[in-house]
Amino acid sequence: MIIIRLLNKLNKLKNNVEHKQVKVKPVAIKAFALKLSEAKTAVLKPVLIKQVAIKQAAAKSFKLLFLCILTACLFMSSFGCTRLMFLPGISSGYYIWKDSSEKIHVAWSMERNQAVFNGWVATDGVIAGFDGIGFADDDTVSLNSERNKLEFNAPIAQKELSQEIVLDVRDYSYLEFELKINDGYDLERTHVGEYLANPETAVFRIDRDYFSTLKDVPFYKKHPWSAFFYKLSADIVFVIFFVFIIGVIAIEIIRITSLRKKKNYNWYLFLCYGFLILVIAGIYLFLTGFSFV
Amino acid sequence: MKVKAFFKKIGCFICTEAILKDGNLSKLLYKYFLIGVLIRLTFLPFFFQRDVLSTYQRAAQTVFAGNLAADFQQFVMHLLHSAYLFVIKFLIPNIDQFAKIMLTESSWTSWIDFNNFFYVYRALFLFKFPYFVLDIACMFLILRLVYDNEPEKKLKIFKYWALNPLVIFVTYIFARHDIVAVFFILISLILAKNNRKYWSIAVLALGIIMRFFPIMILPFLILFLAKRKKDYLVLFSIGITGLILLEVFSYLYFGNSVIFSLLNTQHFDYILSAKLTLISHDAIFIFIAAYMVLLFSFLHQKNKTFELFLNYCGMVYLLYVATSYFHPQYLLYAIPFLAIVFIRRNSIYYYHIIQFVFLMFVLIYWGDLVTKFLFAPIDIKYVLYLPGPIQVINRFYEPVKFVNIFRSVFTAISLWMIYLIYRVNKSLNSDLQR
Repeated sequence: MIIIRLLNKLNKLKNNVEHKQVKVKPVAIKAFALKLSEAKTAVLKPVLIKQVAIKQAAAKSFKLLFLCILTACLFMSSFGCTRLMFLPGISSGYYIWKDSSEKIHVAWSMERNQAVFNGWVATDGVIAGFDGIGFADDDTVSLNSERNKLEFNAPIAQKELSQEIVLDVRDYSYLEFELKINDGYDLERTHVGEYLANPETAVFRIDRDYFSTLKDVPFYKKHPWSAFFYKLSADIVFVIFFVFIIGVIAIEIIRITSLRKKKNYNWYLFLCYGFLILVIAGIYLFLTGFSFV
Repeated sequence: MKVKAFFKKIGCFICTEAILKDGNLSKLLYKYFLIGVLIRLTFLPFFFQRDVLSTYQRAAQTVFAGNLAADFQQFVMHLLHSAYLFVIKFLIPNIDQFAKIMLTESSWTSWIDFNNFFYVYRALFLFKFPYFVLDIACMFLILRLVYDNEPEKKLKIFKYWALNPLVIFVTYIFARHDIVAVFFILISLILAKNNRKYWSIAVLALGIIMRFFPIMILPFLILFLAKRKKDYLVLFSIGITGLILLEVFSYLYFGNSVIFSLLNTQHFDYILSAKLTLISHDAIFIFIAAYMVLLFSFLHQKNKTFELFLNYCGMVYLLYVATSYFHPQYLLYAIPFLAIVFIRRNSIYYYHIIQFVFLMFVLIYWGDLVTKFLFAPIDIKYVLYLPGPIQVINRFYEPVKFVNIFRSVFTAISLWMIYLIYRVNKSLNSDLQR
């Protein structure tokens, strides 16, 4: 209200000056305008501050959301693709990995449910030592006299988290395993080196270099990407159609938001569609040229 | 010139004249529309919840095995899906394998086989495509409900629908068909706004036989539309005609009662889930009691304006999710009404976003089927052996307690939103009195 009143006064003053009805010094108008701008700032400042704060908060929350999604994606991909993540009491089945000091870990857990884990680990080398972590009194672990086969029988009780054997194996070329859950084999729950790197047979053997060669397998041959790309490659017509539609909509958004006022509008648009064609060609080559199994 | 005028007419029909006249507003509308479509399409082929497969499996029973009675409880919805599946089956390669998967009786086996199906993404895209079309239709229908001379507000409503996380989640990730019923509700509301009272009720009746949930607003619509005493009887009769016809058809054709079989399903028990137990057999069903209070409150409103009626509808659906056991898709029915009230009171929008976040936690206890299995089409093996959220929570705390803490806050938010809408109603009434 104050601003409107002041604005009306200023307009009146200006009109009077323009029509030479009143003689007013330009300094007076300037002073009046200053007063007006001060009043404007005083009234609008809190509103503006609030609006800016809301916008900043919105931008921040979007950033946070984006970061969360990104972290979740990274976490998920790291979960399955790059390293084995054994979560005691959460994971289910056997997890086998080699640590930086070349020790072999065999860990198991069953989502805090009751289960019996038993089996053996054998080698053509020597098991110099072992540690049993989380073993109860009735659990058994025994190493044979040749020190090349270790047998264990470890039932996990309700609410119990996990158990683990850490093996110090020397001078070996292979390791052999037979790992049972509830006196049966659940190979899908036996993760060797990586999540879902499952053995194919009940008694399985891995080379000394197994864990290092596993790292060389490209990401698109590992879960979940392998299955995803495999199914995409099976329906290439749909994939091209889908990417084209998505691409056209994305270009349209770019066109109306940032290209519309550009000088070389047509050139940029041409560039965008060229890029889309390149992306589609790239996807086509990737899905048809690689094996995901 | 004629062509230009023709397209202008189409533009006016789609996004209203008020918005089309303003260059900036129409550009903004186009932008929101494109962003909304982009998000929706991105989710279309990759995620689903088991129920959408069941819906199409029942349709497959009709299309591939000639069994019309595969779903007599939602017969009209079943017919729609069957007709659509009959059309799209020509677009799915390896149809024999597809039919075999769809006709597998074991739900677990069919779910695994479907996720491993080579053309699962194409099938999901086609399955959800009608929901996408109806969702887009809802996007434009909602523009026409209120704020006729205020295009900026109309645009805001459009934005609230187009970018609503719940609409996107329920329709494209959860993949439920409730959007069909919402579409009929919106048509019915537009007809009600334009004083086409019989058509309005008839369309709502159609919506009721599609999904039954629109029945919650039927009494409010009757109270809003009835001008004379006999209107109450006529409108009520039209409102339940659909159900009666379905009941008669079902009884004659299948030899089963739809209404009684529905009353005996667990879904009806959801409404009765919250209760105050008194002595002996005596109990008060909270939702029913509170629903009646809302109904009486609307009945005693002197000026039953259209906006007031919409607000009451929003309150009813919020009340349902606040006090009863519900599935996430049931919250979708509240969105058209909430999107309108967000304009009046922006804080409700923020509560709605929090409500959505809490819903994600409430979802956890419905198990793997509605959490990690939503992502099964990406890689079923990866998802199957991945620890679910319940296992993760169970490691540290009792999952039931954990989820119910979030459930309680969710209820508190929903009730608070009802209160805020009530305050909006009060201000609407005082505006009218002025």
